[in-house]
Amino acid sequence: MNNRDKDERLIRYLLGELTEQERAELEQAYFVSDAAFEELSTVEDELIEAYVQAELSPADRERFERGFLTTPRRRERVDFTRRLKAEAAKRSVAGHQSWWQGFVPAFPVPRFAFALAIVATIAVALGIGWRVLRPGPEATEPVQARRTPPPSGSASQPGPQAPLARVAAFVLTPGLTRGTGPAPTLTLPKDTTTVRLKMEHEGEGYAAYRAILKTAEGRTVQSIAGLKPATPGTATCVAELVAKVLTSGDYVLTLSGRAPSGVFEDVADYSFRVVKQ
Amino acid sequence: MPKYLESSGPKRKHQILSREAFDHLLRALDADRDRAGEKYELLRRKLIKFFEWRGALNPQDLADQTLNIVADKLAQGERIQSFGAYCCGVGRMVLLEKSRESSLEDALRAEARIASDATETGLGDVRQDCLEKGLQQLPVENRELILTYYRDDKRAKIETRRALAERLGLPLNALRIRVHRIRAKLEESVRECVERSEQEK
Repeated sequence: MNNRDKDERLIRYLLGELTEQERAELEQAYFVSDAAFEELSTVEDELIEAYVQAELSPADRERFERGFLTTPRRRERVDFTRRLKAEAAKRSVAGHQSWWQGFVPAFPVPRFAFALAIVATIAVALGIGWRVLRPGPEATEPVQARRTPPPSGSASQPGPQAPLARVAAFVLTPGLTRGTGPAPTLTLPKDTTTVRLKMEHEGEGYAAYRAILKTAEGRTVQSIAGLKPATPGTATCVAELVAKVLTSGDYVLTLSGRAPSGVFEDVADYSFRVVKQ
Repeated sequence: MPKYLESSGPKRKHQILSREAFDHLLRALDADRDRAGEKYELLRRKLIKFFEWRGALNPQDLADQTLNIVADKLAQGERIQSFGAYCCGVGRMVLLEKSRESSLEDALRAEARIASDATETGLGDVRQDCLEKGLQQLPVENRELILTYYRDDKRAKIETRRALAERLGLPLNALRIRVHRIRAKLEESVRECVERSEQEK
């Protein structure tokens, strides 16, 4: 049995598709062999990752949803993977710690003060960027695709050479539902890695938000939790999506805000079309 | 004392493993107590995954129940040559007994399947906080490794991982396993953090 066949057998086990005898044989094997157990666990991680990244074929996706997402614990694993991928992508875009370390000076500046200065500089730059680049309510074109330079001048840069991160940022306003006129089009330049969506809504702001992105057909693409207002007290929040989860097509983003009771209530729906160059 | 030896209140339906039985089991696993503890933990993890992969809703409880039975058998004089194979057999019996008892679980599973549309349950903020804490608690090199490993998608992902393996001087398969181990610890710490937050409410 070659590696591909072996992996397929393990996947069929994870999806509950083996016969009882086949399951028993495989279970005996991994209880006796630690390496076999670790291999199966690793294949499970990779299967979940493939699902989260929408890399499974439609048929395999259906197999996964039917055969794997059957318990809360397994759905937690999918949620964990989604968050880990998003966090990894986000830190890559921010050029995170390893890039910053390249700028830590040799002379003794208190680390906290230095870090605070860096954060303040970036915050000001982002604030200016939003004010300059924010389109009027009728605008549908992407406002900016920024290139984040790779870490440079760092003598000991850990990890492989990071590909350039490319961020496309948009502002979404509610009330643009399907059927009432053309939905705004978000054109993603080639090699966009991250899509940053700033959502504005009417009424009071919330302390926390969540957003669920679905295709026009109702398939959930991504669920994003832990969103904060862009500026405390304002009726806006910013969500970042990994560009790879988006294909050209129509989407609806549902924004919910957390009420003081802890319950999430729907705030606004944003319909838009994605065009990938 | 490991937490599974302590009473966890009314939720535990089966007998709690006594200290003496636990010690006897450890001695049977290995003469060295530290190594025996590691073997015990690995057996428990395998049992939890076994029950999880079989679709049980409470894999940890069933794993503990299985280990209790194994310890009891040992205390009664049973000779066990391969603990892995023995636990596998007992686990399958526990699963069979459980499935006979409970059609409620099947109904719950069906309901869970219908509800599996990735809708958040209100734990989103907590999970995100716990993930960030968990990442911070990792040693720097492990954190960098796992974040780099999971950073990209599709073609870029393959290239990144290949480059990472080359940089670390590892075959790709060894890198996969190393990342899996880091991820498993991170996932466990996030799960525990979420449970603690829920208990503190």
